[in-house]
Amino acid sequence: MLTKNGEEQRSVQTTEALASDQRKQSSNKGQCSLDFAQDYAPALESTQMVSINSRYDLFINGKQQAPHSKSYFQSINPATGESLAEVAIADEQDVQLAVQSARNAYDKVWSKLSPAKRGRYIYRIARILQERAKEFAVLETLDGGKPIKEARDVDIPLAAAHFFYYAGWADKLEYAYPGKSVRSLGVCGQIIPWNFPLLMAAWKLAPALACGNTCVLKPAETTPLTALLLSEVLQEAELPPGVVNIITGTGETGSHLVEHKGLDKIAFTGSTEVGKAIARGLAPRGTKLSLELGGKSAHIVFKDAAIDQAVEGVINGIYFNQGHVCCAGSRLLLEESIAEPFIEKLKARMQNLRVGNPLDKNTDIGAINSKAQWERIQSLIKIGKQEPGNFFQLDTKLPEKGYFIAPCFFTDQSSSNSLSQVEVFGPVLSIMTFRTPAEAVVKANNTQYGLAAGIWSEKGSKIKDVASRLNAGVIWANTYNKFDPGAPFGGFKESGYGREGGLQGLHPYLEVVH
Amino acid sequence: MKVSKTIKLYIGGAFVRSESGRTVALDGSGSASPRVCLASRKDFRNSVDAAKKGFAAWQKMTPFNRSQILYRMAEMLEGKRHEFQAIMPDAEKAGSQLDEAIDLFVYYAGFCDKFQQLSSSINPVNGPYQHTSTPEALGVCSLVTAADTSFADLCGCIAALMAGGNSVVCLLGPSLSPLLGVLAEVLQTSGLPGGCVNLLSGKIDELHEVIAGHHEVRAVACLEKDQASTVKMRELAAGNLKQVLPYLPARSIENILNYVDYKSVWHPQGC
Amino acid sequence: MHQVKVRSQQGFIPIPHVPIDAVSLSARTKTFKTRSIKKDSKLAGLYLAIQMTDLTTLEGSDSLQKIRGLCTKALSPVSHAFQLSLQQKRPELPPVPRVAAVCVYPNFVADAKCMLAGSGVKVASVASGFPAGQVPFAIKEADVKAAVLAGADEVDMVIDRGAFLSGKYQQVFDEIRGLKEICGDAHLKVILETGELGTYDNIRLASWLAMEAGADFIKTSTGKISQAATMESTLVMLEAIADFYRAYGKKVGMKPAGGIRTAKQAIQYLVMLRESLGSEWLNPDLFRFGASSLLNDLLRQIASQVLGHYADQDQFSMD
Repeated sequence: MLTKNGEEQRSVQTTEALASDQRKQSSNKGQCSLDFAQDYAPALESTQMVSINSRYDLFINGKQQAPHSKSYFQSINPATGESLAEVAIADEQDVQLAVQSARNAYDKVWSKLSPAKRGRYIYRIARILQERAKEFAVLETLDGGKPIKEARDVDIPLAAAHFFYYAGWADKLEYAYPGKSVRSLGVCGQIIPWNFPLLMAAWKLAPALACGNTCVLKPAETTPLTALLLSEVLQEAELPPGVVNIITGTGETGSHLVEHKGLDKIAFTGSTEVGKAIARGLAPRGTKLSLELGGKSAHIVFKDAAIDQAVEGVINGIYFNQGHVCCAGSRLLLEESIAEPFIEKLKARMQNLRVGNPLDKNTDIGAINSKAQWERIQSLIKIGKQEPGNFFQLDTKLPEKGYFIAPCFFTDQSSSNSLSQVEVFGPVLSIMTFRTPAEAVVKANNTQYGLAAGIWSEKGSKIKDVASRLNAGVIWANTYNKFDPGAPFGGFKESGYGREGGLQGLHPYLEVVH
Repeated sequence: MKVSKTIKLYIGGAFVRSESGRTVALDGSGSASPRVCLASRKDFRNSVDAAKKGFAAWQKMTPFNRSQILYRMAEMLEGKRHEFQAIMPDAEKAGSQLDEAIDLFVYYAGFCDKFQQLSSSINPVNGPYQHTSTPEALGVCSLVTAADTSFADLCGCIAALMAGGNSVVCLLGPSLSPLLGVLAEVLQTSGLPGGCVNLLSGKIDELHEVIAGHHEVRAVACLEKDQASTVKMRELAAGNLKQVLPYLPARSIENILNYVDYKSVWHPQGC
Repeated sequence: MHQVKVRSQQGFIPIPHVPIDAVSLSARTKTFKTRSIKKDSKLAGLYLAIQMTDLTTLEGSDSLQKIRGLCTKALSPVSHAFQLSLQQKRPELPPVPRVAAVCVYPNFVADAKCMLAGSGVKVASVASGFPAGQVPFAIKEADVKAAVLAGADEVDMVIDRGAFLSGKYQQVFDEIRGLKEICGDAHLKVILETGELGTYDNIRLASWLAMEAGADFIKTSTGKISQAATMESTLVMLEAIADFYRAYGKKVGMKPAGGIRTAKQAIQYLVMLRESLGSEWLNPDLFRFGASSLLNDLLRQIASQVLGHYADQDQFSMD
């Protein structure tokens, strides 16, 4: 700290250096003390490049159309609690219109187009997304509350990359199934969640289009805006009308879509509960279905791990995107002999997590996506506190408005604790210990889910063995929460079926002809 | 005077009576004709427990060994040709069915150590990571035959599920249950660990609920086509998110790949 | 994993093997780089970086006049006129601070000491057969002794990387111990020359070895090979320092050296320091930059931050 009179002063802190909260709230008035230990000055991303309409209609047959329902709902910025825009609610007739338009487009245009041309349209979408990336990033942050650095560095680039990757598949499908031929399915109904709004739209649309299908996409109720902005991109790319239709609304709109008899395929990403209901609803028809559902993924740290990097992995695993990640490493399994120092390191590391305005480029943890989710997480934390175990939460000042929760964890948990079983979908970690690799595997697999798992060890043969015994579709060894268009994603057991991404991600959108 | 016999269920590598004690005469023609057991829900649950053990044992074997055992099953089937023909009603058809079944065992035997290579991928991710996707067996699968399922299709489906590394609980309908005993002897004498394949005879209408609802059964291979009971099974299976999948009466890798899950593993590359 | 142990008067000291995952390490450093440091946070970082700078010249062509120029710059990094213009714009700002030290060869320690007397700017000297460390220990001892006798406040020694890489940890340990003793009150910075150690695991091991042997600071590089300080190697060392502090309660300092030329880089290092070791390390007693051209870029950035425009290179002394 350097003060006006030029004297050097050592900042004196009584708390232990490595675990101290380094954020100091304000400096003395009247004297400028330049102190790098103070909280970083706000670095707000400008919102100027985004123009948000006051009202958004449905995107059907290549045009923005007012809903038959004539009703609208508010899309809220969860960081302020304020409304951003009103968004159309699609009713049964709107759904009918959208499916019909997708059917027409499939029959008359898209299925007749050469695969190479299909690919060209998808490439165009990718490019325009890249060019308008910043606009999308800011809008994603405004609508969903995620930190701008994540929207900017993860969501939007990956969404564009997904379109880019699958664009190239369009005219190479025959290589994916040697000795067989494949054909498109027809019209796909796709329902996506609110945690990665644009990215999930890309995960759904890109492979479906590349395989020659047309789509009706239903974005999540709390985060419709980037999908609606995507409709502008589709227009800009001159995608033939009706190839992609985007219908907004509540869960009821989603139900109408799932119940529509004119769909050849349904893809759903969301909760296991809704996934089961959809599967049940489709039973009589046998419509092709892929599901990407919940998780309670185990993150295993062995004592021979690269510990400091494992700490990073754990932090990233659970606090990335406020923990609104289906594959979040929400159960930490620590080898008992290192549990104590590891938890100390975790606590120290958490001191550097900045919770706050999602538009601040230095924010690590943004707003909880909605009031409802905020309430759900708070109630689960309350339950966790009533059960055996200890609770730690980062002591930090949260914004007064909006929905925020400081990152936290429970220690001394067992598999019978509620928080070891229930998917929280928030910045809440449940920590358990194990003694042997076999015990780690048993505990990791002790869940209805099977989406993802993490393993940290520097012993190669141990990683191979444990990875082979974990019931999870995605295994991150010595890393976590990595995503790529070329990487198949999806779970075992009640985490769903089908894969998104990569070569295997084509399969849900094709029929193999013998 | 003929000695009548009851064809037992085949669970965990052993011949057992139904715990329910229920049997039914095969063709309903007199007391001397063979009877088959009517498997109960409890028999099914016991079979799943046995199949879990069988799955672990089957997984422990190398793909090469699994391949050898499937081939051995073809050999044993050949060795029991006369017994099968004696039971099958239409002798002419029986011969071709048997030929086809043997062929299918041989076909899928050859896939045990190949489908992984054909369906795995090394994924070119954007970063310093090695990323691979490989198929893994689902676990315990259930196989439900239809009234018109042929012996060859039954054997093909069993072979495909096993080639993928799964263990199987089969429910045979009335047309196939007379063959249960001989087929079980084939399984038992081919070096297959107990529990890998379990054979039940019974009524689908009594059991579809427990089959679809059992959380430890990871998939149902349903040889029925959109019968009411199939729909019912799909509805019930939705509750634990298992898929009720078809078997294609053809020689196809799809019959294996429908019953695997892909596991994708990331690992950094750096020193 | 074979356990590294070294012998000391107190008995055997285990040197823990701590594996480092290179990819994850690198990803972590990227998070520091993406911090957006603006306004007074940036200014605070620029001021702090100046205070932490070891203004360095280590050339075969160094002469008395060269050292004189360096010391003058260390004493008054900016002109009076520049200082005035800053104060006109932001009267509440403290004056542009002085650097922490000048870093020279032993031959120039006495002169530098004389020129900087009473200023608070320390004199650091490289010694111990810098930069290779491939001379007999007796010569290293003599080298350090000469620097200390000439008045060096700080000694920057090099480890014998050849010895380290061939597993002669005891030798490396003993040499550091021995030179530390000769240093007396002078602070000892131990240069690991991370660019020659080959792996992050080795950097971590060497860091711990040096700290166990009594290093007051650990330092990345000599600046004499092409691969100097990187964010990654520095982070490995910072994490070693953190663990050493947890184990012994002793705060060891860190000095990345070489390759840090821009204010932007310096601020990224400070962000890394702040978010790894914490605010208690944010001072010149525990963190230094070994650099020669960094200072002027820091000054230019201060000018742009306060005055709102980029200063001409020639506004600052090129000495």
